[in-house]
Amino acid sequence: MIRLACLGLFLLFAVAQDPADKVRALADKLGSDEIAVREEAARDLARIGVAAVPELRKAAAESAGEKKTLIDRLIQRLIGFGRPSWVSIEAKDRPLPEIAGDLERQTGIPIRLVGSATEGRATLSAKDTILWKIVEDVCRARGDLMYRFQDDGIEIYPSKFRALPSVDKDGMRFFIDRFIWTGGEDKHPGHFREHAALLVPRGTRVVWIGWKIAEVTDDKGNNLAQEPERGGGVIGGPLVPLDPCGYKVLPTSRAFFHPFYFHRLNQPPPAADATKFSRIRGTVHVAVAEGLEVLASIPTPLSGPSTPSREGIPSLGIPLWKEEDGHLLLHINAAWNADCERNLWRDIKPLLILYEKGGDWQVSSRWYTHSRLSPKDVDRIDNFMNFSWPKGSSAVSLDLVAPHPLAMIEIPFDFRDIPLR
Amino acid sequence: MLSAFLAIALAQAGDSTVRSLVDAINERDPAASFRAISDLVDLADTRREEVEKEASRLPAFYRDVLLSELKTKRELRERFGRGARIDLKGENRRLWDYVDDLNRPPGMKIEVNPYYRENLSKESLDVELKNVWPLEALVRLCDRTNFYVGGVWDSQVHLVSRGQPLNPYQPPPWFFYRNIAIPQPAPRWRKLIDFRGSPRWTAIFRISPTLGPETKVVMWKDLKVIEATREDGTELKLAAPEDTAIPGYEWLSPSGAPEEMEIAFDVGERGGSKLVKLRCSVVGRVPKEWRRYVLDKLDGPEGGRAEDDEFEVTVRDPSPGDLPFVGYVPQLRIRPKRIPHAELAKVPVTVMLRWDTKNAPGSTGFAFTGKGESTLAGLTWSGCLRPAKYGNGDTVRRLVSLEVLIPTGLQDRPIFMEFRDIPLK
Repeated sequence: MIRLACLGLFLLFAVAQDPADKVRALADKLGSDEIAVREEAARDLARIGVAAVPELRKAAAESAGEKKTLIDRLIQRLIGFGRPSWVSIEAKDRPLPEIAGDLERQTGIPIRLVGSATEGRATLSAKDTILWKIVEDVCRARGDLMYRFQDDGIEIYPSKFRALPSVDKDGMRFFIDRFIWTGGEDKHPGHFREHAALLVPRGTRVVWIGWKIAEVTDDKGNNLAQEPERGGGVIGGPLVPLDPCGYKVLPTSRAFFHPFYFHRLNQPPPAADATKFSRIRGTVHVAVAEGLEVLASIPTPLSGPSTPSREGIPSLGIPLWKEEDGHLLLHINAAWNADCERNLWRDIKPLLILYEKGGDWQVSSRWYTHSRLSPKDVDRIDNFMNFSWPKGSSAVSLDLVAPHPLAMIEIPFDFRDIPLR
Repeated sequence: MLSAFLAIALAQAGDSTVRSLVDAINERDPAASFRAISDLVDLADTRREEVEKEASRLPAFYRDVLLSELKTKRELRERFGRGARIDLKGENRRLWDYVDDLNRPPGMKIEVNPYYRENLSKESLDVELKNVWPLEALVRLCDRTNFYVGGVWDSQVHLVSRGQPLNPYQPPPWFFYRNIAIPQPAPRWRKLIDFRGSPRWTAIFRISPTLGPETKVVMWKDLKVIEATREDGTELKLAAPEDTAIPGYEWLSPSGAPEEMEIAFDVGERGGSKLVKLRCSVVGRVPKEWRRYVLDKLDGPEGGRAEDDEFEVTVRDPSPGDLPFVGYVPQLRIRPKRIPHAELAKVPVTVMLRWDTKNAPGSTGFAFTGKGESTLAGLTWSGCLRPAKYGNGDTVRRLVSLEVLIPTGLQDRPIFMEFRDIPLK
């Protein structure tokens, strides 16, 4: 009887617990002396994602010492990793538009149905499952639907389903979409290129993607990833695509999809009589800015011209700007201290982030192409920066930030038997 | 050893009858068929009814070509292109001597850069070309001398040097018809492996017509495949658009779709076969006239302006507010008065420039946007209309005058072409 009463109480607590209370309870556990308890609480909070941040901020304000440090760090991490892409859904022969709407509400990622997909129905059951897998499973089960990524959303459209080589880790997915084999004749076998993408929770501050290809072996035994003297390659040469094997990414609050291609210059195709790749193996590295160290900031940047920077002092100014054809063009003066994590910054660079009313934010693409770190202690830039700026947009602040600290995620992949013919 | 013999003679259809010309058109010899079509088109000036009546005996493709040509000749008149053929023969003469011969009637207007004439293609050539169109003769000469026939400007075709290409130029088989020359396209290969099973090769062909000076095409549209037959008699199908999960990162075509003047065929397996017959059509847009606007008083507070019943053309320096964003680049605006702006979308505009400094760029161009009421375009090159200095104190180059050329009254010039035995490898 007592057991039953306890169970009843537990269930009542479990069902009726306020999300804020749950976050507070988990935050308390972060102060536990036991590492396992702290780690489990951190994992559970990560599942809740950025929604837990307001309560965690309150908890941090009431905490001190190591617990406060831990909560502050966790807040940064939750913001850095965006809105979690895990979803739970139960649907029995339910219209696809309803399913899409449910998934969109849980992840913030727009899911659009195209053509006859709007009239489809599906049955599925998932708990804490990554969104990309659910979308794939719906299309696979139907067989007549496929998904694609357009702008800031996912489209499900009528087409024969094709299973893409993919791997999931930490709420992210790495997949290969296609190989492109171009050219080729007797003397020059042509060129081979891989198109791939990384999917992350919406708004994750991915600032860099790298990859290391350990093996690309066709069914004739040629490993294109090895040097010819080591027994591989039709012509030879590592498949490792670019030096420094990285792809710089422009994060925005809306981004969840980072496509890229990789190939080596003049990378040869597989053997002419090869029918498949027996194995493609390697690792994708993802750098996520858990924190953003503010170097300089302009609140309400479009309220009036602001003071240009001065040499030697990290600062930011906008003497001029104009809005045109859905873009905001800013004349920027900026200076920042470059004597910090120099090697890392050479790849990552500081970011110029424009925060918009409503919480969205974006990084200037032109900033990315123009900013350089020099051996000087202070670097500066005086240039025009471009932001996407639909009518009615409003700026809250413009920040010059260093992505710091960085979290490095490794996603190993090992794909087998990919047909070439 | 100087020239032994040279003759240019008009090789007319002679006393060919309409019936015998129609009999000469058949599926076996496309070159002879198109020559006969050309002669029939000219004969129709005086014997139209007879030509149209006999056309009904022709195979469908050639009948459609002939009827289209009859219609187009009536519409374009002198811009249609002459059909007279010539003989060109000579020994031990330089390219430029033959070009001079072609430059006289009944040949065609050709402009040669004096530098080329003095310094390039000094070797002697023996030539014997019979019953060829002037453009055909010029292309044949160019193929032997590292030149190619460039675009039409000021009613003349230009010869352009191929320079020193990395891979030696190998003349392709050509399709010729009157003042039209089109090299037989060679496939560019592409295979999409998208894990759907059985990936297939796509062969992409680019069509690159060259036209004689009478027919200045300013834009192209509607490239169509009429027939594409393999050795085994099967029809080659156009490749479907690529269906991928992520937008592509292709330089030219994100989706892998062919460009405007390209055709993509789904070939399946590659090698060992050929395209025995490829018939296509494309439509060139030929202006009736060129509207010319000269703006030579540019230093007033309102910049320069010229207009007539058709267009208003204005040029100004950027406003002080825009200057930091666009720099010293004169802004040209063209507002059509009669033709709706949307109808002018993609129509190219040529601008000739004269500056107050030597060795300054002489021309630029842009296309009408078709959006709003007018097209605004920067003139590409930096400079200004009124005196100005850069931040470092240097003087900004000034634009003294400009001439704007707008093609108007665009008419269609449908072009039909036929190629045989294109290797699919």
